[in-house]
Amino acid sequence: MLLGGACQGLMVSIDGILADHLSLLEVCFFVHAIGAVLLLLHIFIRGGGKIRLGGAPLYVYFVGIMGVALVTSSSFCANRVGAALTMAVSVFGQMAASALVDHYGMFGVPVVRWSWRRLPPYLLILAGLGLMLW
Amino acid sequence: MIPFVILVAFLNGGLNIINKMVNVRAKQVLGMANGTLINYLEGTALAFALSLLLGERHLVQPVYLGQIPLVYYLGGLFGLIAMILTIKGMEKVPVAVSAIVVLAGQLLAGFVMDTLSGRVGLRELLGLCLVCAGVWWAGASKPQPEPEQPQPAETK
Repeated sequence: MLLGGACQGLMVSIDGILADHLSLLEVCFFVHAIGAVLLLLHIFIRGGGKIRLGGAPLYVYFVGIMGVALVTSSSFCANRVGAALTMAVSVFGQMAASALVDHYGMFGVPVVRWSWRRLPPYLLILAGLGLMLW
Repeated sequence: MIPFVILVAFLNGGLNIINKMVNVRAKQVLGMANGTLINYLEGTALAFALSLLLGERHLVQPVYLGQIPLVYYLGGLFGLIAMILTIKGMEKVPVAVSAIVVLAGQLLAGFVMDTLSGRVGLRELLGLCLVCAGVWWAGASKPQPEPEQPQPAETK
């Protein structure tokens, strides 16, 4: 999982560099097109060529829109303030969203209620972000 | 400009979590490869259509695209590896732990890449250390999920 996170950080950084040459949407196109080609190759070589895209809940089909928004926004930020600050702020956003998802038990996750005793670590992260921005 | 960029990065993080949840659901219903494929096919078509609609023409200029170093196109490969490893890991590792490890990996990669390009100084390094410590602390102090309420037994 550490490797997975590192690959995500690498993607953001490389996309930020590619954004010097192409527009954000064009960067996003290449990120998705290369992934799609590799996946199709995997399905045809190892999965017997069976492609099944129907039958999922409606909200599942919004992943592509979210993917475009994610790649475009992270490339935009990394290109302007660097990958480290982009990832640090994004990590804070992920933690805030996770706390919200946990509090309300969204997407079927077990409920973990927010308590103000959990605030100090978030303040420490904010202090770190402040230091990076200062 | 900087406050706007920071706001975008924060919202990116929030959307990232929702995207992961939906991707896990897609994988449960359609399988790993097909569930991930939806994301990539939709993203490809949408980004292509939007870029043409906005009058950007680089995608239909092969000569220009060929002048860009090949290594700059590898973001898609790393993104795919990241998605597969994250989804697989989320099945086997408790959510709190997996979130911390993934976040640590993201921060580490961002730091290494910025160091290579000379964008990280001592202050940024110290800030990143505080962020990492906060992520670890938040995970370590996270309470256990509430137990589900047992259904009252039916009385006859």
